[in-house]
Amino acid sequence: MTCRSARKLLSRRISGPLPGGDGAALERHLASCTECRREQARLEGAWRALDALGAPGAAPDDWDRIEGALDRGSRWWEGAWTWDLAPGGAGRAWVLAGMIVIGAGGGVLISRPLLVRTQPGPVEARAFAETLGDLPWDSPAVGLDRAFAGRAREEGTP
Amino acid sequence: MTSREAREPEPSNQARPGSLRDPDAVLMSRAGEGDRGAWQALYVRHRQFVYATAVRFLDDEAAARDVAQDVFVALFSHARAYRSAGKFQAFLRRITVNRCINERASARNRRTSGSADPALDTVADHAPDPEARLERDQTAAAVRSAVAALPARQRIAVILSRFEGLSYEEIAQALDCSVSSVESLLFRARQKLADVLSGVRGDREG
Repeated sequence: MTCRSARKLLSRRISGPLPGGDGAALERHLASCTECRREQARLEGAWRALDALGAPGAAPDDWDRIEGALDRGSRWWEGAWTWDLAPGGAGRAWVLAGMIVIGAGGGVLISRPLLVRTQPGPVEARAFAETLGDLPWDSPAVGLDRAFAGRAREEGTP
Repeated sequence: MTSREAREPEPSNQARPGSLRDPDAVLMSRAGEGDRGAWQALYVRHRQFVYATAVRFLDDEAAARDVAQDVFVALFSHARAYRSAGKFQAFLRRITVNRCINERASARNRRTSGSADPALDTVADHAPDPEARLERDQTAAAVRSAVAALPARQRIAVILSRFEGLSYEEIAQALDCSVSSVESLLFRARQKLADVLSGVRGDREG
């Protein structure tokens, strides 16, 4: 066992006995490695030092506060959702991505009729045809429509 | 309702596999039906855990009380939708941890010059002389500072392991992560605590 592996197990051992053969392997390593024994003492000493924090004392009875908050409905949205119960980081990211996709897709669907209107519709086509028909008699374009229509008959195209 | 009645729920007449063995699941079921007595019973049973965890994490009694209120309000607001697929305590721990971490994130600029709870500053004082008491207070301050310097998830892992005695699997459930992540969190936290506190103890001894 290497010192690196041993030090990972030292942390785990502070919380309780090691499973399987890890405990025996660690003991054998510690028997022969002064540095790891020193590290073990250091970690265990720091963990024991947490006793200095003491006990937080009895929890105050705030039931009236809590019941009042529930009655007021001060957090009305918690009936539907609360981030306290939301999934972890990845889940929240997927939820947010879904909201963006739905929002963007909805925007496109709503705006689609407006976008399509850039193409000339029947009103524009009629206006163009009517305008062409109103050309003055000396315009080079006069008669072109009849010329095109005649050629179309010869070719058999509508 | 007396505190004794609040702690001891009446046996349920509904035969639900698994739930009758867990009184908390029975109480949550009743709470989902609007039983205020069940709400209060759950609060009495679990307020110490929620408060103690929040106080140790936030090092602020007032903030811890607010967190505890938020936890139980969220709990009871979702009682109707609660499904006893898992253990109730794991569910409660998850809410408590999330709320503590969110509170810390939102109060990141709040100065924590020490706990407002005198109980946290009071260590079992067996030292007869002022010098020993001073040394003990300084040690407590150093330890509190070292814990406060840990990143949120390392700090909560330390609290749940050291003071609540939770297993790695239970901590993983509370933090919504894998057991190997918990191992990593505690490994790094213990290293940091040892780096800081060994320096403190070395100054005193040297």
